[in-house]
Amino acid sequence: MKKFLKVFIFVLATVLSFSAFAGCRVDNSEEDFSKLVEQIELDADEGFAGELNILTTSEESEIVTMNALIAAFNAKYPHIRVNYKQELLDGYYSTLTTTVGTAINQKDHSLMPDIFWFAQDKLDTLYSQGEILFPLSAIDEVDENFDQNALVEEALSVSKIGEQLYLMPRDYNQVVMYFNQDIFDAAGVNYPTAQMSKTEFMTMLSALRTGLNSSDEKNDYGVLYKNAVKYLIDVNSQWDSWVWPLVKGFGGRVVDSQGNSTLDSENVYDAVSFWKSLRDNEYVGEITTTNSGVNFRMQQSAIYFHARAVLSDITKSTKQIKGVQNLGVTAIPQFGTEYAVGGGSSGYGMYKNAVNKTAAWLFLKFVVSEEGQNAFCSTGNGVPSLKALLNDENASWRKYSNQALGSAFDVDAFVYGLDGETSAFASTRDFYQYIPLEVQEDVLTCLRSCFTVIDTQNNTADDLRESIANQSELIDYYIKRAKK
Amino acid sequence: MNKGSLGYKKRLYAIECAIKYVFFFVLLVFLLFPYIFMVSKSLMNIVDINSPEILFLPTKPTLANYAVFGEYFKYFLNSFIVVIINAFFVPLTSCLVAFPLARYKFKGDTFIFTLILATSMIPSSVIQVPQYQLFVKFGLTDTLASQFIGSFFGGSGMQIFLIIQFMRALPKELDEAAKIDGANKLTIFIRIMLPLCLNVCIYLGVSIAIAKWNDFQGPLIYLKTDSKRTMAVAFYYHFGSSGDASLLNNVKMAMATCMTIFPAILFFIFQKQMIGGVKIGAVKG
Amino acid sequence: MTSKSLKKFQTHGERFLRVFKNEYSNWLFMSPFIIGFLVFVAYPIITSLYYSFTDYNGIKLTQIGFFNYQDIFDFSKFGMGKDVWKSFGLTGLYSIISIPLNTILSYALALILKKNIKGIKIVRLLCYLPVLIPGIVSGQIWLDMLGYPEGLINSWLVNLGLPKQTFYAVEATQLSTLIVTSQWGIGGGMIIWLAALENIPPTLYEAAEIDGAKYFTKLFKITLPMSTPIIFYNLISAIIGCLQIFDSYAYLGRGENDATYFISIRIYVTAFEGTVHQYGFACAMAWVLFIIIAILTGIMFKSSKWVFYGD
Repeated sequence: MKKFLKVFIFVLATVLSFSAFAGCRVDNSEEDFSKLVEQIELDADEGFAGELNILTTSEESEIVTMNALIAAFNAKYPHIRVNYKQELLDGYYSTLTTTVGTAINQKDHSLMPDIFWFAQDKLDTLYSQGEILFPLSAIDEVDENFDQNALVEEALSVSKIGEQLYLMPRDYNQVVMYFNQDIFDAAGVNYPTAQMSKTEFMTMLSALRTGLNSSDEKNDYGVLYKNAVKYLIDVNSQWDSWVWPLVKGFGGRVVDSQGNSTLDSENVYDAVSFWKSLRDNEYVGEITTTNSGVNFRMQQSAIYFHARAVLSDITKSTKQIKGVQNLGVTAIPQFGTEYAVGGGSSGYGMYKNAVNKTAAWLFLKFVVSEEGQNAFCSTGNGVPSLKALLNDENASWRKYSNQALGSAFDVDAFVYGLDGETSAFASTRDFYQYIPLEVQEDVLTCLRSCFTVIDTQNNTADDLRESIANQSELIDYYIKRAKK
Repeated sequence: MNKGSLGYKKRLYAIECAIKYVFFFVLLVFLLFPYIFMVSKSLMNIVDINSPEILFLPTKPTLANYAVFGEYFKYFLNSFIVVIINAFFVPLTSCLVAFPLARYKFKGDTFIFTLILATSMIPSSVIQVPQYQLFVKFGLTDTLASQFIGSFFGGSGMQIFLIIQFMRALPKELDEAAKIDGANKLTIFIRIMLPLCLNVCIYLGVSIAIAKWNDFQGPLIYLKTDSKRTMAVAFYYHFGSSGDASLLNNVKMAMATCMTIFPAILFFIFQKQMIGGVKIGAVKG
Repeated sequence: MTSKSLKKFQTHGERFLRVFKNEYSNWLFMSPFIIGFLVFVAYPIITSLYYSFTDYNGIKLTQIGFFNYQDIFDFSKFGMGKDVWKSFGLTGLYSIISIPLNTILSYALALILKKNIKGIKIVRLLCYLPVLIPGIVSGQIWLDMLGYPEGLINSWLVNLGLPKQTFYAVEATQLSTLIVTSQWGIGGGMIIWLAALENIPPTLYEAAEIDGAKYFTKLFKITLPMSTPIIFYNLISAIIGCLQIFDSYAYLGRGENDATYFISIRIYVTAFEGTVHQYGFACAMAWVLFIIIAILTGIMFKSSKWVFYGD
């Protein structure tokens, strides 16, 4: 035992002497990007020969999209060989960080793909780790062939940290309401519309439930709808593009411009209690962070809230599913006092130490070019982030929908409320800008936690109010600690 | 003694036996109920699993769900590679390490012995992170090798300890006789010790195989690419929370049955060695 | 080598050479363990201690100090302390209930299955079967069977006129359900007890029977004391095993409101899940766990007077 103690003290002393050498913080905010940009051949043209490694998630929609993009890209740049890999979304970001760590540790940057998919909500955490994201605006400044201002304002705003672009926004995403026409038909209820009020929406849900209970129609799997449809609505209720717009729609705000929490308000309570009423009636499922959509795809939910990017996942036809025939879409109705709809962008980032920087930049430029955007939109999985295409009445992303889907598929839902100054567009960027970078995710967790209380046993009105007050205090604590 | 009382005794004995068997039957049904449920549910079709009243037995038994095993065959192969290499090398290297410690006295033997015992006390989470970093440096992450590299280095302390205990109990005369014949240590080890340890090696090999087959944490940390995953993690990712499969409880149970069969068969084939091995661990422990 | 022949070699060097010649083969045999120990245990342990004083995240290391340990013991309103120690507490609670329960139940099962009647071997094997089943698989089965509000067991309860049970669905009953379902693994303990029971010399029982001892007297005076070494051995390995419980993560995750967020799950999640990998903090928690395990086993060995090591 004494020997062990001696060894322990020795090791402790060694460790502490290490700390004497490296006691200070490394600051990476003041970086000179010009060296990074120098490694890119800006005058590369169609003849450029090289390699490019790409990583996305392994969802149907991402694969379809990426394959379309690669095909079009290779048609333009035939001498760039593209290696494309996929990972499951479950654990995707963890893998991403791990791979960067591995690449840096082994000093072999080819281990990390040059281009990788990610969504706006992970921008901050990826950025905060320093060595992952390549500053794209820095190239934009010197590359004459590219101008980021051609892209949709809303998509750009969520892809930047400060003035620096880190995510090449592939698409403009806005949350819409998908619905299964067959289930509505079976229940004898009219299809939903964006103009519904909250009360009308609730009446519709209760009519759906009673209608289904008296119906003896079956879904394509041979299960009676009244048995199959456990929850009418399928949504990831902890998704930041869902939670925040919901709260915002009821007039709730997270922080003010000084970074003080404003969460503890009756408006936030209204949003939470609205969700509780849906939960109490079993219209929505448990409040978890797991990915949604399974119930809707398996024809076990009537309504599904998500963005355009998942269209391939919904319509992917297995032998049992009818395919796209029964799919309807409309914009989200107004639940609260103001209209707010979650939106943003997903796209591709470039690894900071990428081996094939030139090819990677060519690819990123291509994704937001007119050719790239058209190739991508032809898969049906997106609304373009290019202004010119988004506003074009004859653009391919609109045509695709009309051909393949029924008349209840309202294409304008994907850009509903996007017009002009009264934009209903809501993203976490709304309050992130007032919060220090390292605690943004923690603050978002606080916002989410206001809702998770609903599923516990202590969920009376007072409990909900108390938990909101607690979370509000916690937000103040996080921000204060980070500012210190 | 007359015939009547003998018959009465026989009847009494028969009743006692019957009660015992009924008791054992009830006990077994209770203990095995979850697995009976698993098999029963794996035979249901999609209408049965969505039926409003929960069914215990399928209305129309179908084997269609077991087609899922075909999709998962690649994960099965991965698991198999990991299991085979571990089951072969862990007993072998454990025996190598145990041999001098059990049969000879030399300077430092107690130190090594204590070290071996101490390693089995260290919680895996203490070395998890640096070990991961180490594997990163060796380029072993995301390879199946990360799951069997440890087997070349004696496995864990507990296994070496078990073999030491077993070897110590073997009679001393065995290797002394061989030594007189001029055999060196390696010959003694290969010719005399290994054959004698065969049963305990089988016990170790089978327990390692089952443990590796069931292992969840190791592959969860190290295997990131889907095609390299072992059965347990593949099951976790595909039937866990998202993905179409998570709603198909019948398919999930078919997969569960497939995953259960391998360790069960292995155990039943080697049950003699397994129970013998447990005895060594239990009595010598 | 006898001591006489050793005396022939006078100098240290020659003596060393002689000893070395005689013993190097031993070390050669042990080299797999020694290399494995140095590379896969000793080095990681020291590195782990070092990491625990840093904010290393796999990509960069910017700070060195005691802050991780400060966070673990920060019990202020929003400090990490409460969360971390809730995990330690849950793990402890699980062990304290599960280990004795498992020991008693498996011991009782072994006593029942000790009887020598036809077919008993098959009964024993079948009792052992649940031990062989992967934890994540049996977890999924239980999750399905114990579903709430709709699940097989609940539908049976309703048919029997009993109230529905929440099982895994609610925070309050998650841990207790996990403890109860984990008892299906008593076959593992049972098989060890059986081996131990067989090892008790039958003469002891015969002598006791002559003295007119009843079943329970024999149980408490002979069977139990004779199996204390194995009880002790099993307790130690059960403590080490229970404090590292992880498989429930596969089907319960962290549990409702972190009801099954055991410490090893917390360490894993902190280190490997999510976008930011907090290696430093995870190592600090692992070291606290290590010290707790070391203290516990130390206490167990110090207080092991009740263990009966034969005559």
